Amino acid sequence: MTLEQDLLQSAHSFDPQALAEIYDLYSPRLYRYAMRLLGDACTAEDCVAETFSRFLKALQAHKGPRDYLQAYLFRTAHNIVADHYRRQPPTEELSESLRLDENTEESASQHLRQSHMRAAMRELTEDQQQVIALKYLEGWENDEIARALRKPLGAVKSLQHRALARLKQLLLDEA
Amino acid sequence: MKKDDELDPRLASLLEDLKPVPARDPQAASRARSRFLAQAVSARSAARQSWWNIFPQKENFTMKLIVTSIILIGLLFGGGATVAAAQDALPTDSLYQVKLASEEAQLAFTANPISRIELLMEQAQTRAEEMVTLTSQGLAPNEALTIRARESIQQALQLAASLDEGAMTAVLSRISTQLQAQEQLMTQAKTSACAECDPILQQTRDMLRTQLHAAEGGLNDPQAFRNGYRQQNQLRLTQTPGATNTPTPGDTPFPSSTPETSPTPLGSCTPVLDGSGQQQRNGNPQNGTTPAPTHDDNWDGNGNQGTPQPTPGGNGNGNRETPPPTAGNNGNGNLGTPQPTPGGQGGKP
Repeated sequence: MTLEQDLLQSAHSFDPQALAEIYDLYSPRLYRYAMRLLGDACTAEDCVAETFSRFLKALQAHKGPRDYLQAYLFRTAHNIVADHYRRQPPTEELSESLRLDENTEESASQHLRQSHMRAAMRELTEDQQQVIALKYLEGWENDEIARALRKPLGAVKSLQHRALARLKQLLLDEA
Repeated sequence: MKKDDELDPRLASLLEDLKPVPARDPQAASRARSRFLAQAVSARSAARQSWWNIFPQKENFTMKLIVTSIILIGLLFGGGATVAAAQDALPTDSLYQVKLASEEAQLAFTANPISRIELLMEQAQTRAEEMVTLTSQGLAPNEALTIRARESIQQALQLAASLDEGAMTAVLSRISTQLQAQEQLMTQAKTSACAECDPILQQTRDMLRTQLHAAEGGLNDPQAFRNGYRQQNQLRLTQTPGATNTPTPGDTPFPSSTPETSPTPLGSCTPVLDGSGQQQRNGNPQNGTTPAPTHDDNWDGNGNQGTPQPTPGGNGNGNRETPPPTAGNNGNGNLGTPQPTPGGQGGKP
């Protein structure tokens, strides 16, 4: 039995030690993931908190994942990010952190590139976004992504292909 | 490289731009962790209670009666020995869950508020003793022990606030003495502590000091103490019908200077993810019952993930924006309390 399965089994019986270990193991990764997609520290923290809150509720309802915890948590986090954008479309205001650095040209330029990239990502379907984020930002293998999306490997490859084509069209062709 | 994995270098460079992430604020991370652990403890209690609902409604009463009888008979003719043996169990022992269950049962069968307060304070004392014993064995106590102790003390203080003034003063005075004794116990534990025990012992001492501060506040100004808890109760009742009164970390209606009771709620950063975005639109921020689109994050395997679902009440954090009853309190007491969220967690078969 892998560490992940071991932890998950204990989590189903609400073992506080296991739940704390799960949090410590995945919370930093989820935060990074949310930060990359949302670009705001507070919102990313909220996303992580909500992800774990939903995980607990799923356990309480005797549901939740029986295996592939990481895939489950990232899928949940991605859904929360998508919900967030649906409820509150992003504004292009400069963040507080950037304001501190705004005299740095490179920082501003990077922020603009990031905003542009995020805006392009949002033009993709949610599944396509998730494939691109997990593969190229988080470095996951296709089979791991397939588990997160609960789709066959072929479907993931197809999503990836279409997503890359769309991003190229949006970001490179227009340039 | 296969064609599927081919990535235009210019696109790769743009994606690379998204990779750098500023360091996470350690304080925010620590607060979030504490909240999650408190939520986990509450979820555990709620999950235990939900086992009572496994029978169909029609047979509920009969089945509960039968199960209760079996448990009582079992406890009387054999289980009693197990329960007795469990009383010395530590969190690392298999009988510890029996010990916790027996404590809960004892509390459930105690109706008198003063007796309940005594029991709750005994339970807090037991948690402190367990931490000291674990420390003396070189084992770092789990944070869940601190959270349980805090919940017991907070319930005791809340009950004290409901007593008449004479009884309340006497009870608060006893609670103060007990809290001082517990803090003393934790301080003595430090002398023989293992290196990794220090942070959790310090956290517990901070928590005890905060609760002691609240109890002493009640002795100095009984009316303010009573009003603080009354307002808190009213807020809970009006905002989260059906919610359990599980306190959040540092949930006390008195100001505190300790970092353990930081009054800054997580949602104060950006309330948009807390399920209240829809509430603001329809001007009904109080009960959070507005259906909001959300995702199914359960496994349905049918390709329907992400289908918007109605989410009555959101996600258990729907009250994070609620103004606190008094300074120093996070104001809702429900951050760590999971709410029923059919859409929030999917709920698809």
